[in-house]
Amino acid sequence: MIIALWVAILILIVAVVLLLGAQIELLEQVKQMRRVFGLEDGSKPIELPEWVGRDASEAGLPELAGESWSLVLFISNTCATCHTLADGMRGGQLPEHLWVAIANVRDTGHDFQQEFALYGERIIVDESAVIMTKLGLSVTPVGLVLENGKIQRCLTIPSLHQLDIAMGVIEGQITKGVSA
Amino acid sequence: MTLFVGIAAQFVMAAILAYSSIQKAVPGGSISPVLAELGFRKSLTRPLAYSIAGAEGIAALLLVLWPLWTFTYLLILALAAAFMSTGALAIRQHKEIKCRCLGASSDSTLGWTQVAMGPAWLLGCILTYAWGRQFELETGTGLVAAIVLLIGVFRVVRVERLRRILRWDRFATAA
Repeated sequence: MIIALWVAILILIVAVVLLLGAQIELLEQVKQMRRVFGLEDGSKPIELPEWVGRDASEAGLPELAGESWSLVLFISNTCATCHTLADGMRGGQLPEHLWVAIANVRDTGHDFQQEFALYGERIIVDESAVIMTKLGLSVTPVGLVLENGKIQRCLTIPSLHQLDIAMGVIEGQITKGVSA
Repeated sequence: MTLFVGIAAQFVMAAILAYSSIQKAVPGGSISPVLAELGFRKSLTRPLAYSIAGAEGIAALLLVLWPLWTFTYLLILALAAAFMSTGALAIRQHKEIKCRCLGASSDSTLGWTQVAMGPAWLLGCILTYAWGRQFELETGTGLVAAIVLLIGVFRVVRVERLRRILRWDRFATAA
């Protein structure tokens, strides 16, 4: 009886492991297809010629004046990608040097900040997207790179993965003494 | 010490064979394309590929349940000889063929590694035959289940890692 039970358990485990293997195979294929068809996310630069080298406080971000470097991620309550990004930062535990600016583009009937519990000293609420409008930004999610409180460049941040990559790249540039 | 070495050899070989068998049994993980590239007839590659996967699974089971049975070692050495032959064939044909020895994601190519592994399999068999341990049927089956479960744990970790990468890299249009 016990041996029959063990055999049944073994068969079940083998079946589950085989199914997991099939799932791995499917996920690998999705990854491969995304690579082949160029569907992987990539960060693109956004031109802000009149803002490069200017103080962030002029754009309405005085909190960043004392920072050696920082990346301000602008997310809005209306874009789907921003919800994914916000979900990844749920609770407001942000990596060092990352700031989040929540732009409430229009009243959607629910509180975006409360939904993802995005509270903390490095989270800014850009009511009615005043800062974004001043900077001339019309898309989200975007990242604004600052060094010593001065605006350096701007880029799209379409996924958490790209946010991670951008943070690593900027940090590497700062460490090497190259302007961010 | 010798007993430990014997049991270690017994379980390492069983784990490798079980892992290899499961990887080859997964859809898309079969070694059928490898056999086709080596020149085997198309009608033979599929049954041969699944026979090898099945034989590996049986060998893993026998190694834990009946380590003193001569057939166990005949099967393992036959598999080792088959692996060596495929390596030798690839060398002879001067072909760079993806091995798929441990599944479709294996990056290594067929060649000297498979040939060199032959003596290692032989040594493993000698150590297990001399100092391996014969377990009760219930205990042995439980141990095989534990080996497969361990493989499953690694799979779960891999699935989770892939799922996270794909979720992070989901194509999205800024709006």
